[in-house]
Amino acid sequence: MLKNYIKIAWRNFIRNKFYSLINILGLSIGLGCLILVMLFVTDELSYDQFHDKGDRTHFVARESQFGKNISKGLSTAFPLGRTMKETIPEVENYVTMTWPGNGAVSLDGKEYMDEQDILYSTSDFFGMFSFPLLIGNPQTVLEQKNAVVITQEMADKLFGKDEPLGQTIHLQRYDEKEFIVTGIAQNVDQNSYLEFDFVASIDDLSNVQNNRDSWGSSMYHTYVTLQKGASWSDIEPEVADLVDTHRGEDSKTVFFSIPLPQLYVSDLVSVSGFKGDMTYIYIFSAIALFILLLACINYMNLATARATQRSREVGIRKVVGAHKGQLVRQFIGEGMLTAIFAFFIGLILAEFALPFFNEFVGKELTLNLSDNIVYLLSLFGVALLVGLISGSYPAFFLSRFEPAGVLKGEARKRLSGTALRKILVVGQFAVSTLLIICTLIVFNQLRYVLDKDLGFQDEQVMYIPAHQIQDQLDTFKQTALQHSGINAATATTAVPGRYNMRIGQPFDPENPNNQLSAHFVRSDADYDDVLGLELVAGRFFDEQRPTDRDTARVINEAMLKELNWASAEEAVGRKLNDGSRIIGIVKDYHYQSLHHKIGPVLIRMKPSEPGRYSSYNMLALRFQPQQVGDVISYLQKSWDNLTPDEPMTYHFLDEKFAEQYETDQKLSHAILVFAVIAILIACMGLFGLAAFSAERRTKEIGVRKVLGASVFDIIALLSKDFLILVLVGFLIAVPVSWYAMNQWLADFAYRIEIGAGIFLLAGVGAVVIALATVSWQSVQAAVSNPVDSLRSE
Amino acid sequence: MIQTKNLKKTYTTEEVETTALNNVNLEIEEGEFCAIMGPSGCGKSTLLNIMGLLDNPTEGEYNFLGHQVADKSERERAQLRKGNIGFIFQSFNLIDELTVFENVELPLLYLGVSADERKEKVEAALERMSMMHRRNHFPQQLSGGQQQRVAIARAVVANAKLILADEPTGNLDSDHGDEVMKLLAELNEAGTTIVMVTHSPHDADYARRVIHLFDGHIVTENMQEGFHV
Repeated sequence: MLKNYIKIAWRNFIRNKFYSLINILGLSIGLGCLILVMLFVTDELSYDQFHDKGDRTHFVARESQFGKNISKGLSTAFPLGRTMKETIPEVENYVTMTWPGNGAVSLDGKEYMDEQDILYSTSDFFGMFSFPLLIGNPQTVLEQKNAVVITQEMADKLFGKDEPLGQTIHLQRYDEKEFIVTGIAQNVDQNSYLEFDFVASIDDLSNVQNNRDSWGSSMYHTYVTLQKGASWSDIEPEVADLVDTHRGEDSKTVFFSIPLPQLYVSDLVSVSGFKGDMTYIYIFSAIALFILLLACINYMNLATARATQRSREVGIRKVVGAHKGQLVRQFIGEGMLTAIFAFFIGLILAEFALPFFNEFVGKELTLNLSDNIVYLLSLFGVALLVGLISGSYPAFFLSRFEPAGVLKGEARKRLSGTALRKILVVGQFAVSTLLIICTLIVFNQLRYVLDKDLGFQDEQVMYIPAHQIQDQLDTFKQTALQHSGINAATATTAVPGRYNMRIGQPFDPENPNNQLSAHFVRSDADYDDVLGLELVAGRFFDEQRPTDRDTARVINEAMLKELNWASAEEAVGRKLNDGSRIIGIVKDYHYQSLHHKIGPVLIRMKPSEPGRYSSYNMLALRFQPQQVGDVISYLQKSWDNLTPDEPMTYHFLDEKFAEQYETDQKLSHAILVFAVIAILIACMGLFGLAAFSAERRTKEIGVRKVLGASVFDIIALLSKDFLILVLVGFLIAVPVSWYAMNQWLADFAYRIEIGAGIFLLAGVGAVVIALATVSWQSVQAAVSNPVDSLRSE
Repeated sequence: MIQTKNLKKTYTTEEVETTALNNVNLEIEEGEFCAIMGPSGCGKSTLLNIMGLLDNPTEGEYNFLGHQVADKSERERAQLRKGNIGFIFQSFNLIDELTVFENVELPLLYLGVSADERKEKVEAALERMSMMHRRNHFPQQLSGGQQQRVAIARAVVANAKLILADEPTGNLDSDHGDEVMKLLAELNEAGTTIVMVTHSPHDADYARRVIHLFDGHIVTENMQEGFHV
């Protein structure tokens, strides 16, 4: 019997190549998308799921309130973990570490190679996290002051066949120190936020020396493991007490928990691009499911539309003794067979698309039977489910046929336009139109942020990070200015898109309760020239006035507003709490991407006696675009004269600034691709349905033509029904996309408003696409000779 | 074999109620060859469908092979139909996607007959209809007469006790029509009960008994003495 079912399914498939292709192709694309997206999602969700104590290990994060600003951060003070363990009985253990970062490694202290993933930790690292050690006791391996544990891979790389244990390694990250290898860890091949090649004892680090007992500077990561049975909410009051004890009663700091398995995808952890962000996991999963849904709908629609053809078979099977259940099983089986077939094609499609997808999401995902067997089996299960779902409606629909009727050819009359089929088409077009609208809005917003006047000149400006030649920066600047292609140059600590210092205090001595947090820039007197900043009042710094170095400050309009000072003119000359004076107010400019609102900015020159951390560390230049090649080689030569061993890097300000939208750009491309796929699938379905509709109404068309209908009348007749469905789909898509896109736009401080124009454009687009799809069939039907169609009845 | 008592069938749509059968009382013995005649829309096919358990009467009783079936469920009717009743249609109703052999095999599949036995029975039935040489062809590759012979083979393959034929020659020319009628007569000779709906007096001549229907009820019943062989 099964053989008979497969045979008839296969022969039906071959006989109706066109519709079969629509079904298989749609389902294959849908399943292919799902395979890729789920590969990404499972990879993202697999981070740090493997730790034995993972369910009771917490990352301790911080929320501080500073004036009106609430900032959440990962960094906490060094004593936090230690104190938690000492004072809170439920805390079983703690680890305080630096975040994993890049540094350099040397065996002899002379030749360094750059290495990634160096971290410094307190001694219980291997006791808390399940990274197996090949050599060494997890409890004690980091107890020694200058201990370092390296991975097997690193051991092979650094020492080859030599015994790594007891060897000396020089690590250079915050400072340069010697370490002795005390253990070898298995290579980290599971996904972890804590991916490392070196774990060194944190005790000896110079910044730890200064901060060992300081609650003031938050620059470490703290993890705690709680006793079995204890939960974070149990210890919350004690953690709050800790803040009161060590940071003062009026401190507005709160420590909160991020469970270790959720750390990677938490809001606070920023990994590049789409990675480490639940939002993108949701967006991509939703889109993949939508596309699969569209393909399922195609299957259901075409299978039921084709019911006229299959009805006779159903009748005959019933006449010769089949009961309903057997027929239901047969048609569900056909759906599953189609889905299985589509799954394998989808797998091939996914395999081909994988390199592009990997580049797109910035991962190295692989798809092969041995590594992903469980994953592939579960997706195969999904494919079967897809077959079951898409097969079941046609199955129940078809098996309901009464043989007495269908064998006499009554089916044609009875099967016309079922309500459900219409609902399904509406659903498909709702999803497609939704994606069109989203694409348009995302593109519009991106054009807006890229075209918006930023308040500074970002074109023809380049900057060179120069901390290596910090002391000779002025020489470098003067040499640069001698080139005719360089119009202006400034030594500074920040350019738009690359701000990293904030300063928080009550700036206004007359209003000490107004705590403010401002972005802080040090620059020389040419900063405003290079960036083209506009002054609203007062003046910018002047190299000729020696007092400017220590006591002059320039602020922006946003700062003025936060200080509640009446006007820019009135503000010039006012004193700040450190004794300095405001000499000028600059117009607001976007020092960050348009995701962020322009906040207060405070600019000062470097002090007359600068320390290592209060100097300038980059050079920004305005250049003549025609001479850019010349300028770069000139700068390179001047750089090499100052520091021959260090490479010079340079960036163009406009490019770097636009890079902040890289993820948004990628998202826009992703949505565009998905929208195109969705529309394609929906159109394939519509095309198939239109073909059936034309076929079913052949006789009607013939009669109408005999009675005098024009070709245009017939096309209008056939297209009208579909257009109504498309329009209803559009009406559903409008509010949904309006809501979803407002959510997305909320992430931008500067954003477009969603106007009626975009919806109108998307609606017209959907109608045009649908019309184009349907009209080919309609025209075919309309121009056919009525004599043929009437005779065929 | 078949007894009906006050059989009534009405079709109701939103606005009109049509009576297709009205108080039909009929008895058909095993081994009979019975033709039902009458103008279009007189209820011939409705009666045949009810007899064939494809449809339930609105009122009345229907006894088939000693089972009271008037209000049995679809599943129960399908169970009783299997192997007992064979159908032959005007438009042949073969499945286009299946070969001649596979079409004939279909009833045996639903009866759960083993593969070896199926092969044997299908080949015997095709032999009987002289269609063995076409066993691997698809329906569209055959002439109308050949298709109808395949349909007859399908009707008899499971040794049906009753064959219901709905205008079996309606789509055939007279030569092929005669051929089909002769096959039916042969089957009847061999003991199969046959009930046939027809417009053609010529075909009706093959039957031993002719029932005339008009507006849903039986108007005359004749026994034919010198019927065709």
